[in-house]
Amino acid sequence: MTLALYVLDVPEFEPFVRTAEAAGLTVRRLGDHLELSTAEDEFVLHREGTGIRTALWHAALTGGLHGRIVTFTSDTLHLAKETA
Amino acid sequence: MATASPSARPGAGLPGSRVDGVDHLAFVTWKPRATVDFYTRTLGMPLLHAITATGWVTEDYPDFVHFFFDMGAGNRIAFFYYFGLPEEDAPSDLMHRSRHLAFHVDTEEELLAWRDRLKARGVRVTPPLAHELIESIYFDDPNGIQLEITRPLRPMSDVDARDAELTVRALADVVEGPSPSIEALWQRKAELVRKAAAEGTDR
Repeated sequence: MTLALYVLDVPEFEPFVRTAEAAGLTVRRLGDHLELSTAEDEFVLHREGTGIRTALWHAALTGGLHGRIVTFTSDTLHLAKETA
Repeated sequence: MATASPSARPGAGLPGSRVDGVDHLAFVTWKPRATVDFYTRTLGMPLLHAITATGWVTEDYPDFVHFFFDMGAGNRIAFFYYFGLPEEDAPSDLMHRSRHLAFHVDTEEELLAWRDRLKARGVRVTPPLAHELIESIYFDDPNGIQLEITRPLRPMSDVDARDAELTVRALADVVEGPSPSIEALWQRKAELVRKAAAEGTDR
């Protein structure tokens, strides 16, 4: 299955969606949410320089994750496809 | 974006269907003078009422004073002072941060004015911190109760309530599962988001 995360389509998450899109994730609407997906096995996003507020960054997976977390720090979000 | 208030629900006006806000929220103080001074002068909340009584509630209930301040919007904050009650230990830092009371203001201007006012009165107050939907300043009352003044960054809408429904469903599912974690919650949430989209129940 494709590695994907879901973000509620509300203004405060726009910087996160823009950052993810610029880093190569595909964005499509899925009801109230935006699905950010990639065909790659892994995906890394860095917060520095993106303008994403700390509280928002740490809440960025609130919409859901289809995959697993490799690393999630205050600057790095590293996700990977589920190995199972 | 839909902006209708989630509070506008059918049947909200029927007797017994919905309560109407906070009448009073009660805490215990061991510092009555400092508490009265802080709430009336620093926070500008008029003292409304005070009752004094012997401890009649149960056999070991201490004699007490119970006093109320006006938080605005019809809401009151109340304190008990109990005679002879040993002071409790301070809560852990996590519980101190978690069990807090947040007052509402409408604008950034008001939030910053409150920060200035608190600082001018010698209260240690944080810089404004922007969360998802709110921006807040934090400080303690003389009892060590964490207080917050917050302003909305945008109104909460129906889309927030629908998303919250999926989040709390995911939470309930994972805490009843074998290994609850935030990662497990986010994985369950993704399943629910996809299911809601497929069923068209998310808009």
